[in-house]
Amino acid sequence: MGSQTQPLISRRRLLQVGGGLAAAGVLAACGRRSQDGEGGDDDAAGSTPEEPAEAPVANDGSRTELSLWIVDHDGEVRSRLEQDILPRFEEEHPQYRVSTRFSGWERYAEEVTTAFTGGVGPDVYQGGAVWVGQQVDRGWALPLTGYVADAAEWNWDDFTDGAREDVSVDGEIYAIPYRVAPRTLWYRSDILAEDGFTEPPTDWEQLREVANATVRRENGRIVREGFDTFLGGGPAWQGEMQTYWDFMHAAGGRFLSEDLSRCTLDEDPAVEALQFLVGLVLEDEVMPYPSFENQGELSALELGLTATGMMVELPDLRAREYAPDQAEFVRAAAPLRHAVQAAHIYVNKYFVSSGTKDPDGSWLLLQHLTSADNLETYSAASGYLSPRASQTTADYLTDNMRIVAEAGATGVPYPRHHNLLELFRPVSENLDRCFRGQLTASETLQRTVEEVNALL
Amino acid sequence: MTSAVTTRDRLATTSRPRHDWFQRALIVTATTIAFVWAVPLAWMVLMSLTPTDRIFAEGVPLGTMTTEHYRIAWSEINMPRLLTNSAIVSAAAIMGQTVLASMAGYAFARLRFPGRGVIFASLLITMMVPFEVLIIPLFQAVRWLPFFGGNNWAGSGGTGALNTHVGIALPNLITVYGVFLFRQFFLGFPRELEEAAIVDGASRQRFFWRILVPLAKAPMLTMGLLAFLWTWNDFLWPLVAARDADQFTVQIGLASFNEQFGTRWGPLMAGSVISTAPVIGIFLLAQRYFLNAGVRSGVKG
Amino acid sequence: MPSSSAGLAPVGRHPRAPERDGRRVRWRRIWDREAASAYRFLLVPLLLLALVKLYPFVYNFVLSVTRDSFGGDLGFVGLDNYRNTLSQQATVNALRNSIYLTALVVPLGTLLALFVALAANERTRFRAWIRLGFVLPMVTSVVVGSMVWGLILLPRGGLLNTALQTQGLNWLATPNLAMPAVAVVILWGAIGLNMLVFLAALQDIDTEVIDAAIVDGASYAQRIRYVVIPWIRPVLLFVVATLTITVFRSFGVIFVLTQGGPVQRTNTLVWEVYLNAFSYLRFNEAAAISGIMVSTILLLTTVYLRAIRRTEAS
Repeated sequence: MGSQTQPLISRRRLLQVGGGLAAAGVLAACGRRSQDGEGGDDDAAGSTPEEPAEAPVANDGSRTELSLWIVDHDGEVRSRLEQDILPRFEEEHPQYRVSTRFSGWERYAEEVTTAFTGGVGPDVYQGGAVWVGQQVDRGWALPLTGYVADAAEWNWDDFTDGAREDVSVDGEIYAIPYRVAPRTLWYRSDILAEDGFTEPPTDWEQLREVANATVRRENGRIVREGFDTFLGGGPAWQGEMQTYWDFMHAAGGRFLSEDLSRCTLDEDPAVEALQFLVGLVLEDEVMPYPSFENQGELSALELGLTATGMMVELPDLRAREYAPDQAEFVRAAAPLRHAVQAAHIYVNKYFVSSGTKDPDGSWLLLQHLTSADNLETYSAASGYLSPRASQTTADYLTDNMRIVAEAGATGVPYPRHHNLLELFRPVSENLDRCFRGQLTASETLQRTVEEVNALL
Repeated sequence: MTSAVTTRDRLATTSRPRHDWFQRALIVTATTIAFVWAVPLAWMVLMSLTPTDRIFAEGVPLGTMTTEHYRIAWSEINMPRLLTNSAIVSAAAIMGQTVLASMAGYAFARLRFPGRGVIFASLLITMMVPFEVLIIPLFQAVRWLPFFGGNNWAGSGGTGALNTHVGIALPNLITVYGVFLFRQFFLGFPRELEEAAIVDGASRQRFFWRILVPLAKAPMLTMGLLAFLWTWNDFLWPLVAARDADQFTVQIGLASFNEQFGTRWGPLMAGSVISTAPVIGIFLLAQRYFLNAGVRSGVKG
Repeated sequence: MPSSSAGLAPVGRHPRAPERDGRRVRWRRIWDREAASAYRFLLVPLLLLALVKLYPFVYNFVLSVTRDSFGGDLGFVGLDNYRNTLSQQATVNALRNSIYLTALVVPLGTLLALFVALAANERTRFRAWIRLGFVLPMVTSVVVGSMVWGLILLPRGGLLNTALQTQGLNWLATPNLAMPAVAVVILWGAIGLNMLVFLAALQDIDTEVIDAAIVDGASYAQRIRYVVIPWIRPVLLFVVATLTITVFRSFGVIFVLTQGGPVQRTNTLVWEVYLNAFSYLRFNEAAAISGIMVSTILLLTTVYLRAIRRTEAS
């Protein structure tokens, strides 16, 4: 460390700076992401959409790249999409190329939200059952009414009422359904036969009768349920809340008022529905609370631990896949009738983003994905149900699926409020308290209405 | 002081190696707990070798083993590409967090400049905010970075550093924890050292790079390891910053085993073992260093 | 050791210290040079930190004091968002849960880390195993580690229930057990780093002091109590503070295992932030809740600091 004259830039310094630049250069080169970006200029959270950007020209020839974001496509379904449906689109429309991103529900929300708030949303993207209100409120979904009106051959009227209702807000269509999941009654024919029932229950009184007859107890503990609400996923998707929803529909009740400004669960039909459920669970004790959880992939129904339950189409799929010896006894029945016959319907759909670089192209892709042929392909491969009425009686459907598909005809979708998930929370929390015996039915709904209204 | 890395590693004695009952109890208990602590990892390895139908079975499934899961994990999600991406991003993080954090740590420790206290305090506070909260503005910042990815000088027109290795590595290039660690370490050195150097006419840079850095091997190693660890295991940021599958890192790839009909546990566990192996390997290598010299984070006073 | 008489005032004194004129002028030059050097050292690091830490933080803060507005006006609303979220049962519940989780993890975690570091500091043949056992969980990613724990906590077939003979017990779905289970998983991953920190601190202790204590006849336990603990007090504070921050920020475990359930029992502040931002798309509320989180952590840290000072005084 002598005190000789120092050069202007020390050699070490030079090395450092050079090294740093080199490293940065290498990294940038490695990760060079040339050609078209995605999406146009969606702006940050909440504002109105701007004009879509010019459709940029890609490196390879003159094809525009459309980005498609999909959730929950695995295995056979995914290969159908990648090897059959999408290539056919690219053939029919050679000016477009589709790049797909597959994700899972638990991380999809983050991907979509950051993408849109960052202004780089995809062109076409999948949305879940509660998405329409939210996407419209944020201005992220492109209205499709005009396109739909011009697509006579593609045939919007072929879609079931419930499906069409789910994607419409104030008369405008904002998404196209591609899959519906109606909820209906499921039962075990073998268990019912034990007590002499050859037909499944069709209304509430019959359900009560069947459930009480088929429940089995040992030493005061329930070993086989008469009815099951099926524990759902996370807090907002509790089985209890979903089951209550079905009974509420059947009683003619509604969650929100027509204008979405008020919670209407304190009205008579809704209260009646909960009182019935409480009677089943707490008075008759046909199931413990919480009900039996899944074991591996199978729920209580496929395992023969319950006689009846309300569910979407999953029991059929699960039984055939994981418990084939039980499959013939796992049966679907029409939704229970009370004041009306109605069931809940979950609708999965595709949106076009309002900032897409090429609205026409995105619509073409969406139209292709939801054409009658492709929906049939998708449905046959996945076991899920198509939203098209004409496909509710297709050949490839099992008997069970056909019954479930029919249930979809009476399906009632979620209201198009923009913040359903937050509104569901008081519902599921209070329902839990109710089923633990801490609140009566009317108290429960009273509190729920108060809390939901506070959020509205 | 320059013998910072000593072999003083016995709290007990310098002359009497016999432990009393309390020490013995301590050691035995700690060892037992250590083995218990390692059980989940052992379970992970076991599950990765267990056939799918036995994964949910009761009891410990020793017996039939299968390497099928590893085959799936390796080929189905393009593991080599994932590992490469993770490695590149982690390497960048290591470089950043050792070099840059030490520079900043030194500045905060030894150099006086206006606003030093305020800036440092603000940085400390940013540590308290969870990443989920910062991700949206960070995403926007990266997206609108000028001159990257087709952006002009004002940052518009392209997608910025998104979907590039630079962009994915960016939040991990420097952390406040690292700056804090180095600051603490450098605070432990006496000022006389610097004074001597300055009196002899050396510039601060020279002093830093020629004298301090060679002495800072311990925190450098620590931060390097931590940087590698944190970046390798980072999930949320690469998830949103990487838009094409060929930019995905290992953690994103593993997440794809969570499917609609439930998780594919076997391949997921196998993939996790593959992903954790490099990190464990590097830590084991560094273990020897820790064993002898200890990690002088200098966290004192 | 250089002499400090080469016309330079000791570098350790305040730049504005009254001095004779000649010295003060040289002082200023040194100080300016320091500031200039600082600039060279800090340019790149601070630029990066500003981009990836400060900017998002400030953005978030601004979000928390504005409302959702459409371009145009900023929509400044002062503390309204904070007031609104604090009046919601969900947020209060989340705050309570976060504090509960902290109370579960931090004391136990600190003690355990110290305990293990003490043991690992001894020259025994177990030492490598001890270190390894606790460092390994540190290297697994939070997501993967939580998923493995998910398998271990399975009601039927899970290792824990098998070991405890409690088949059928659903830890994560039982309201009173869910949070303790989450605490265990967080603890499992957090001990490693803190053990290393304590280990480093223990190795700093002068052997002379220890030897003196031994000569005085102190037992191991007494040495710990009267020599070690006082010596490493600042490190204790560091560990307690960083562990608190870790617990408050802990998102991955809840995300994988409980999603805030059952019935909101593991709904912590960070989970509430996540829900508001990504499920409800209410960014301003999310920012406000994160502001509450930061304030709580700051409050707790101040409490720790006071506690440490008080024990120092006594």
